[in-house]
Amino acid sequence: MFKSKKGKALVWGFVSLLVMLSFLTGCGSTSTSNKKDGKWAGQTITVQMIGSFKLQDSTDPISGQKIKGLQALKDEFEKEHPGATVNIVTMPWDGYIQKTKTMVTGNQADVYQMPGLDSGYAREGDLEPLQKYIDKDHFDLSKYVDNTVEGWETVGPDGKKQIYGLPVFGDTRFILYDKKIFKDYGVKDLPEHPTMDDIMNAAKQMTGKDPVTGQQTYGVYFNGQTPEFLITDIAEGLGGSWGSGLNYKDMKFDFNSPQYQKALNWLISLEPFAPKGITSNQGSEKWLTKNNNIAIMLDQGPGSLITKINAQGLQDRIGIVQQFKNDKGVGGLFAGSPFVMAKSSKHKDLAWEWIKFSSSDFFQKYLWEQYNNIPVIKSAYTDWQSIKDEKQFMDPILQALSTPWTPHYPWVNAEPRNDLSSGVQGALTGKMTAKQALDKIEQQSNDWLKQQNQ
Amino acid sequence: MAALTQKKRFYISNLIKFVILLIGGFLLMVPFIWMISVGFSRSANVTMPFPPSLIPKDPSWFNFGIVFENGQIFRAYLNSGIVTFSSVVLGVASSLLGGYAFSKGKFKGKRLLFIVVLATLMIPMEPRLIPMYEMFNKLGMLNTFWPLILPAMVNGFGIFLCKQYFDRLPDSLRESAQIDGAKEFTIFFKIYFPLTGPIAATLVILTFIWSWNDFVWPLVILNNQNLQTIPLYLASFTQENGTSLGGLTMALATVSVIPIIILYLFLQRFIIQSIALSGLKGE
Repeated sequence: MFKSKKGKALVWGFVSLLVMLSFLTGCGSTSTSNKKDGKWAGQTITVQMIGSFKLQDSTDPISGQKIKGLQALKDEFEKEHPGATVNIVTMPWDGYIQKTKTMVTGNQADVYQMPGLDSGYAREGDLEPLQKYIDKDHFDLSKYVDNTVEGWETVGPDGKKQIYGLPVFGDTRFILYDKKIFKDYGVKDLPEHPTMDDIMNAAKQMTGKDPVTGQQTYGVYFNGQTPEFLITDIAEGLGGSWGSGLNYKDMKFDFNSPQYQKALNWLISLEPFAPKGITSNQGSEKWLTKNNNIAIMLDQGPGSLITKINAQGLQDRIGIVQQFKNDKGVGGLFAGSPFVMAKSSKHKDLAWEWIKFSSSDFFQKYLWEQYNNIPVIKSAYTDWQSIKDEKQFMDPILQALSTPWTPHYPWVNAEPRNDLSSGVQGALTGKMTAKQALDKIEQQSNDWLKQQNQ
Repeated sequence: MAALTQKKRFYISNLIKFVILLIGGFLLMVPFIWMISVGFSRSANVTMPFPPSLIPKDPSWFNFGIVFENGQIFRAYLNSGIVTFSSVVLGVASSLLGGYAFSKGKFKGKRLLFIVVLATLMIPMEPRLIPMYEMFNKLGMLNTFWPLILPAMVNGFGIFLCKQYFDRLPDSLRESAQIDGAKEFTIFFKIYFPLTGPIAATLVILTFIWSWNDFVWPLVILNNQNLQTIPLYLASFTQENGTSLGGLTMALATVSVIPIIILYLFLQRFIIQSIALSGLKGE
């Protein structure tokens, strides 16, 4: 067929390429346990973790300090569980939804870090309920920070709410403010639980030319591009809620309630005291720098906050207070990440051991000290020096962590979140009134719910 | 005197063109210069430099140090190199052969088959993700490079592009060769293949860019950190606890874009030529 030299060369080139590839690409399999001694001999589990985790030691991009790799967790677990082998699969936050979905589809891991627990994995029977393991070991759930276990409860295939995941690290929301700008304008610091009027009055007073520096300052900032959790918190502070139910058939939305309307109108009236561009998340470029021009920052998460504040030397300048709570002291986003066990796991007891291990001081301290992940065990806040050293921030963070709206909003990973976000954004940009926006959101969310129930 | 004026006019007109092109060129370069500048800024991981500046106030190799830490990036380069090189070779070869067959071949169902090939362009990645993943899972190819390379062999866009190109080459070349007794592969390799330089160069660079930048598909296929490609490696650095790491991201972007720039510099002549010849501009 190929009589020409070029043709033959091309065919041989292809064949060589394929042979080379088969050598190069066959080296991807994960290791299996060949340990023959110990209680867990021969057992291997795969654990999936999401974030900036590295297996090897590395450098923190903000503080510049050395970070121990996840190998430290693997080594400790394998030491505590003789004979066991752990493979840790890490993935970035970008694309984690697709990656988790495919990994679950392909039964690729025994334990998953699953912030999108409400995306239907439990309902579709992909996850193992944990209650029987908790009962078997008399595992003490009171070691976790209040409400962090309840927050992750979700419904299984039988429609009943139960524990499918236990928290690995926490996330919460609070309000931050710049004490220097408050002082420059002679405004009193915010109280621990500011009201909507406190925020509005302070924002009004501090929008203008700073009397000391002469710099333009803005009274408030909030991310108008993703305002869905902020407006929900404000509505909760007013005694409202997103709705009710975790099962699609029982779920009811209440996005156009009087509380949501009041909350949205309040945000619209607050907007003139924020920099232009909040609906595209612009205008807060100087926040957490020495040239900051924002007095109050709503709806903030812990993230790498303390590392950033320390890096900029702003410890004495930044104040932290609680978001809006209802008269039971509850309100705000519940978030973070739980560990869940795959129904398909071949070594469920060992997988459970890993989930328990994640609640140990060793594991939690590792995540906090190496990656700034917020601990979810009470002992962290009473016993650890590294937490006590950051008391001014960590005490309010603990309070916020223990008083969110629970369970986790079941629409966080679904269409209603986008509807709420774009609807509020529409009202903030003046394209529609608060009522029109919320009615539209309610309608879209109910349409989505109908589709789920078909 | 009149000739001098004409010469002067010529120089002035050329000078104006030169200045306009220089300004245009600089404006196009600004994002790249800014990317490199932010990569060199030590504090950009805390907050992006504002107002934006082309020269960092706190220049440092810190971010580039993290990029090259542990040498993992070299492994990611190697992995991306293997995947991209293989995808380019297989993708370009199959597109050229497919395009030739659809352009010059005479066989039953040609139009229908070509419509099927075009239809593949209309299905986005998202709905194909799970079925493709399950297929490669059943074939035992997860966590290998095969699922990243094999799909490159069915490149609807490449086949379409090549067909358009071959349509412009005269059929008489093929007919003459057939009269001389040449078989189909001989005609392709001896007569038409030497004329495919511009279109092959375009396909090389397009396939290279697609393969080099592909993120979601390698993300779902590869679990082993040692098999990470450059975009996966980059994504593992861009955020820390929901905080965007501007400096590190830009340093990584700078390092990862170098091969594409080098390739473009080598092939730009062919690319411009093929755009003119293949009707990509909508002639």
